[in-house]
Amino acid sequence: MAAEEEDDVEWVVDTIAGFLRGPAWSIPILEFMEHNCEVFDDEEESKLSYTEIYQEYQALVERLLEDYLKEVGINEEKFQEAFSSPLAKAHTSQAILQTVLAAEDFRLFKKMMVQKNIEMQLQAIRIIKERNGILPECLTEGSDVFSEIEQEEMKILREVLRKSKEEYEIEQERKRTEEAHAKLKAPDVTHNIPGDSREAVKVKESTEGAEDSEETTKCPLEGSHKSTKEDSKPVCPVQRGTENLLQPSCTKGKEDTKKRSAGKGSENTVQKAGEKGSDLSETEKQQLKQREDYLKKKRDLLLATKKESRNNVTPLSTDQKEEESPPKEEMSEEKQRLLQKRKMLAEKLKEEVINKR
Amino acid sequence: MGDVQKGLLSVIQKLKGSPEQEQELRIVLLGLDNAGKTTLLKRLASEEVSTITPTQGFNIKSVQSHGLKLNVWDIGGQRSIRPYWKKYLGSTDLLIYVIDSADQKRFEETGQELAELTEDESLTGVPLLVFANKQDLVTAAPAAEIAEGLSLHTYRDREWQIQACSALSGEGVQDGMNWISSQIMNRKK
Ligand SMILES: Nc1nc2c(ncn2[C@@H]2O[C@H](COP(=O)(O)OP(=O)(O)OP(=O)(O)O)[C@@H](O)[C@H]2O)c(=O)[nH]1
Ligand SMILES: [Mg+2]
Repeated sequence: MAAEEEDDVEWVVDTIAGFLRGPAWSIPILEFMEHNCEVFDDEEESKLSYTEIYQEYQALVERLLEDYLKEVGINEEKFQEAFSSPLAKAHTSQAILQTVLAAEDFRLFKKMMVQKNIEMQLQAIRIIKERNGILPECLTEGSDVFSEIEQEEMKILREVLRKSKEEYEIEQERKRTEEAHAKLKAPDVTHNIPGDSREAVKVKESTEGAEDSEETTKCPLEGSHKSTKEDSKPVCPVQRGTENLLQPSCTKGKEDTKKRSAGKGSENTVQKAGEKGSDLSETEKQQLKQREDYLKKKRDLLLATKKESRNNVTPLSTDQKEEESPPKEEMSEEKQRLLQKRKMLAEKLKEEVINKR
Repeated sequence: MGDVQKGLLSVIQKLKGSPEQEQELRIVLLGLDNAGKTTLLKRLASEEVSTITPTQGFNIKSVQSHGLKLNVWDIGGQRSIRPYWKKYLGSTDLLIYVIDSADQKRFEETGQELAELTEDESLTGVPLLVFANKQDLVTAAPAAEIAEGLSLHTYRDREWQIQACSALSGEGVQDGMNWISSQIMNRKK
């Protein structure tokens, strides 16, 4: 190959690789993934709905690529030539190419989406942890049955996540337009979004359905207070033996100790998830961080609403009477237990999806 | 989707990690519910076949056969899912159609579904392998009888084969796979 030609090839490869690393590519891709990942679970069998999402993804990838090539004046021939040369392999990493390859490989796509879903759940867990200080460490290992109730919990959580993200997108869109108009004045993130209150109400509604379920799963924690029909309860992931461990964790005094022990564990979780994301470029990571910060704020708001609505419902069912327990303490126990379950669910997912690869 | 873009993607795909570019083929596995598609798929992948439940969506597995990488798509066969079949037919290299040879009541139904499939544009000229499954059952109809019922001999412009098998025991499955690879080899020439 003539030196000149080689330069040309190199230029094409580097240009495209640069594009794949940049925001014009990664933002729409990331947004697509975040917007659509919630139906993707780690079951071996795929849902029919994946196919439609996959086709949308293919169309997005093709459109982005095609538009870019047009923009920089690389025709298909040049592109073919460049990417058939050994240079292409040397100058691009699998990590960069993954989002492109996923458009031609359903299973890679599915894996990506499942991972994204888990990432978002882990994010949520971190948020909740920060809100509540800790994720107590009193779940028994190996109890891996997750009832519908818990899935319902996750659903609500995802709903919260999605709503936050939609808002984020709207805001980003507006930001972009604003920035385009007035480059100097960077609007700060604490805009008051008019949809806030309406959204809060919505979340409240969706929470209500889960109230009953939460009551029914209370069994192990309230085990010390008589729970009469315990046997008929679906799943009790926390064993009775852990009650003692749990008890003190609800009192303020132990809070700090626990923060150090349990908190650390979940920090690792998030850490690992972060590492997992090391396929992302620096820019992408930054964007993710930005998004996360924003989500954090929004979720805090929404979760507060959720908590409120929960507090308003008397946490007593006909099956379970907890006369002895002061409602306040009980709430915090319950809260912790739910958080643990979330964490476990996420851990399990993570283990299966990420570590197994 | 335009051809141009497809070109772009297929070029990039060459950068995929695999050392040698082995040939990948897309095979779609269809048939009525309870025919034994998922059992067959798992059999092909040398997996446990004793705990299979009806498929609500679809499964994909890669199977190595005669130096080829076969990406086999198994889509649920329940009536409510059949309208989705056509979404999976694009770029198919070969169609496997599975029949429960012991379910005589539904021979007509399965024949209609197959006839409809073979009329689909995306499957024009695509080779067809019919597995007359569940031959281990005493009530199973012989493959020849099924072929007749399906009027396979009237199929023109398409290679076809019917193979008696039991996905459960594995008998006959390999013979079907041999036919598939011979088809692919012929096509390559
Ligand atoms: N006796 C016998 N039973 C079989 C054979 N193959 C499959 N079965 C049984 O038939 C039932 C249905 O098998 P599946 O593999 O789930 O059928 P399917 O075609 O995937 O069904 P859908 O997913 O609903 O479309 C299961 O109980 C299998 O064990 C076979 O060769 N012989
Ligand atoms: Mg099946």
